[in-house]
Amino acid sequence: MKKWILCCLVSFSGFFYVNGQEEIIDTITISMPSLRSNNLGGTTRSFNLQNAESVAHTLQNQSTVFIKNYGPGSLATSSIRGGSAGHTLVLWNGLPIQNPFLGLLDLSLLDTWAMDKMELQKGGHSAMWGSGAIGGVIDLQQKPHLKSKFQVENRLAYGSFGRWEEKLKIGIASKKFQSVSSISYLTAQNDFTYPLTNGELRTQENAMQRQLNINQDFYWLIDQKNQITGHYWRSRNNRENPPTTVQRKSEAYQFDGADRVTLHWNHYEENTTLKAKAGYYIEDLNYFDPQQGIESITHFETFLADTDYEINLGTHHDFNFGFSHFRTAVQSPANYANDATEVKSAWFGRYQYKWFQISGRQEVVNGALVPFTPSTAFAFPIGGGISSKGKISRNYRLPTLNDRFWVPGGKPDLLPEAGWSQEFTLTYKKAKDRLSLQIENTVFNRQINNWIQWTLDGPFNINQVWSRGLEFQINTNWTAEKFTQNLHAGYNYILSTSKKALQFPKINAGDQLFYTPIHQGHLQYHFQFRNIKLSYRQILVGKTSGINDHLDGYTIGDFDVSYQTGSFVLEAQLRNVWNKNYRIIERRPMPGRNFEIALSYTFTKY
Amino acid sequence: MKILTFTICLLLCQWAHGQILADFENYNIGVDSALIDAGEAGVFESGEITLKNNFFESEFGDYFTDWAISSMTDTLTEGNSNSTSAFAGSGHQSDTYAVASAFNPVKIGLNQNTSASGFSSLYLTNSTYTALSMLNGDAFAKRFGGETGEDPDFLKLTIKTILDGVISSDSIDFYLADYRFEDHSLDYVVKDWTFVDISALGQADSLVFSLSSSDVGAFGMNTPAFFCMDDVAVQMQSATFDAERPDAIDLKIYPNPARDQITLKTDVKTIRNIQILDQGGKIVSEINGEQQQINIDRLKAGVYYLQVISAQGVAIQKLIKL
Repeated sequence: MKKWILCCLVSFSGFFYVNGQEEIIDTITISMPSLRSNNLGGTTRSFNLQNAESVAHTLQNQSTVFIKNYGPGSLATSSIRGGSAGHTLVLWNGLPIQNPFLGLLDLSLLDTWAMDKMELQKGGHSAMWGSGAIGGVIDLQQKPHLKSKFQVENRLAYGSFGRWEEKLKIGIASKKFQSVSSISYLTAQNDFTYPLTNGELRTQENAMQRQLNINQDFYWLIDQKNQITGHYWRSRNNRENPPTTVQRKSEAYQFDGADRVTLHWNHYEENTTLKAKAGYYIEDLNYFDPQQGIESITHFETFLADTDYEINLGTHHDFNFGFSHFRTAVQSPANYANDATEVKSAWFGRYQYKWFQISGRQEVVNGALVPFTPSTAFAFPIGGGISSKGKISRNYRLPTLNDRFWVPGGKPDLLPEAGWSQEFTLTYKKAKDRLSLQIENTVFNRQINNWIQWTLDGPFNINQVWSRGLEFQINTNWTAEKFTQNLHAGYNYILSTSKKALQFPKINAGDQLFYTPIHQGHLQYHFQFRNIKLSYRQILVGKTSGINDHLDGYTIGDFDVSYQTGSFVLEAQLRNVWNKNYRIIERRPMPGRNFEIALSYTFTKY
Repeated sequence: MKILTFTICLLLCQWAHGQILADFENYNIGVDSALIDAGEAGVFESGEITLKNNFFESEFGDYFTDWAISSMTDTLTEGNSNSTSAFAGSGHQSDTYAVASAFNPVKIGLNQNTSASGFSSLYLTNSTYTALSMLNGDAFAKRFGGETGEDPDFLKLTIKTILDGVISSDSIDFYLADYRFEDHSLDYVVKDWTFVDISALGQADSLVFSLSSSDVGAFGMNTPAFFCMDDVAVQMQSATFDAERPDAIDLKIYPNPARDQITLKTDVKTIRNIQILDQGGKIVSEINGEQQQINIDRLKAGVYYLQVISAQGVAIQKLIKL
């Protein structure tokens, strides 16, 4: 089956190659960051996803985003600036891929092989992206990057706990056309051994995972004014759900499937840009637990359309407005009384003059207006390498379909969570000769009202959550003739507390949210000498409160080394170098020291 | 045998040493079924007691809180779908029993216009759902003993009386599971129906049952909040009893305390069953049929209860083994 798929992909790519132009000239337009994506006033960080394990792993190891990871192969969600998992909006080339059923996305399912870059924008972005963009936005991006007529990339990796990865990417390019076909297959037993509190060792069971991702992307420069881009992403994830540490065994298993197709049309004029996008997603989330007699089958289909028009009104005046439409239908006969549908339409606009920006978005959900979400931001230099930026925005999150329709308990009339956030950043940049230094310090404050809290009787708009904190990061680069060094360090101090006391769950006013560390930090050192790259990362997570108990803080380190010779790259990764016993979620063990080795090969024909 | 005994007992409305049993056999629901909807009345009745029922309809399975009547026998299936099965596999020597869904405290009350004055005893066991959750753990609740088997876990049922709306300060604790022993080989999850003497609580018009567990989180108790109850013995007012039931069972044991052998003296003509129970309610010796002299030399020294079951009802006497 895999071979057949591979043949089809190769044939598909070949078709375009045969019909493509002979000469390769790097002319396919890569649009500049749009005004809509311009995070003026906020903090943005980009991650190279080449050979990254997953979105979850990248964020967990290279940022201070807190990843609630239930273990290798298991659910992983994010908490940005003390927000919930549903407060991170995940975009794929500018279109949301949030699961409307859960209102969040399992980041462990997001394979990165076909992706080029991930951009993390912290802070509220509802003014541009709507519901869910409260804590931050993660945008997975693909770009026409080929510099050759034909390119084949292959990666084989083997790791601890029966982990095998096989990845293949075939790209063809012509003057006006690029096609990239990708396939990625992962299988892992995840049968790691972990110590119990008395030192006894136990082996994780029922934790196997299999992931298959197939991507087909094409970029077509019709003429100098028009570009069409198409993306298809097929994702099949089968995994077993391991028992907790206080569960004798588990027979539960889960299937997550998605077929996503999007079409983008960019039209460029001298002072205007029109970007139109449409997408259609078919997704399944099926959960089975024979022991408990649970069979939960959920199917959802989503249609999205998004139009964004940008006008450059002069040297310093930029104006942008757009319209988006979103329709999702969910069938979940084991959980919903009836099929559920949600229809959202929104208008949004943004104006920027030099260092000042105002934005706003109004959504209509199922015919009813939801909170208008304005935003204003600024960014200007102070002098001496110091610059400042800041943003005030109103943000919101709709109740998920589960919040509204789950039986028992769902409340169709739940209000959206909404509130204001403010952030201010001071940045110091200095570059001299081959040394560069950047220090960034951000303070933020956010209050969310009508916070949706599940209780024993279902969800209610009963809480208010106040999040505030400090984010500090420093980045240095030192480039010499034969080597480069980079040091990146970050620290977060985040308080995210309930303003109201609740009985079930037992929350006192002033309590820090569950699984939200107050202290979090990371340190990353990267060294490159000729064809050898070395990286060491250390992350620090402070203690958290779980549903049942407190979890100790932990600090773990990862070490990577790679060596390139010709078209081959040999990599080795050692994770949890110091073999720390830690847990992110209570009763869910994490593996000790483990490794992965990988061999990559790239064939290029110019 | 027991079914016959207690059916006769109820049908004839016979009185046993001032007691009437509620054994729920009046609900003829067959075997392997559960009655979770008490209808408009909202209560189940058996003997002299009343049990409240809250029934909820759902397209994904109806459910109840407070009490249901069951004859389910499934002792193997995990999960909430099997919440109405007794882990003992049947009622107490019968088919039918009551199941409590007790995340919040549940009550049983004496019928209105009854001449009963309180409660004497009852039999308790775990629901299969709860027992298997404690033995194996599930996605929400822990396996008792925890990761290492050494956690001092427990599931405790606290029984208090209510008289004229006032809840007693006295209570009786019954451990449906207890893993607090230093010697973990003694850790247990109750499987058999277990006799619980509650006569010490005195006069009452209701009982209130509260579950508490060592496995508790922000959402309250993680352990599934179910237990099963059968053969609730109600104490009749002695004045009424003496006046109206001159044929009440008269049970005497001698010698008491005793070391090797005891002799029963009773006016009951057809004894069906004699049981000796320890203080935890566990049957340590059982004799079918009539026997006036019983050898107790194998029993360890301690306090026991001798229970005589007859067509005329149940009689209980405390027995001290030297």
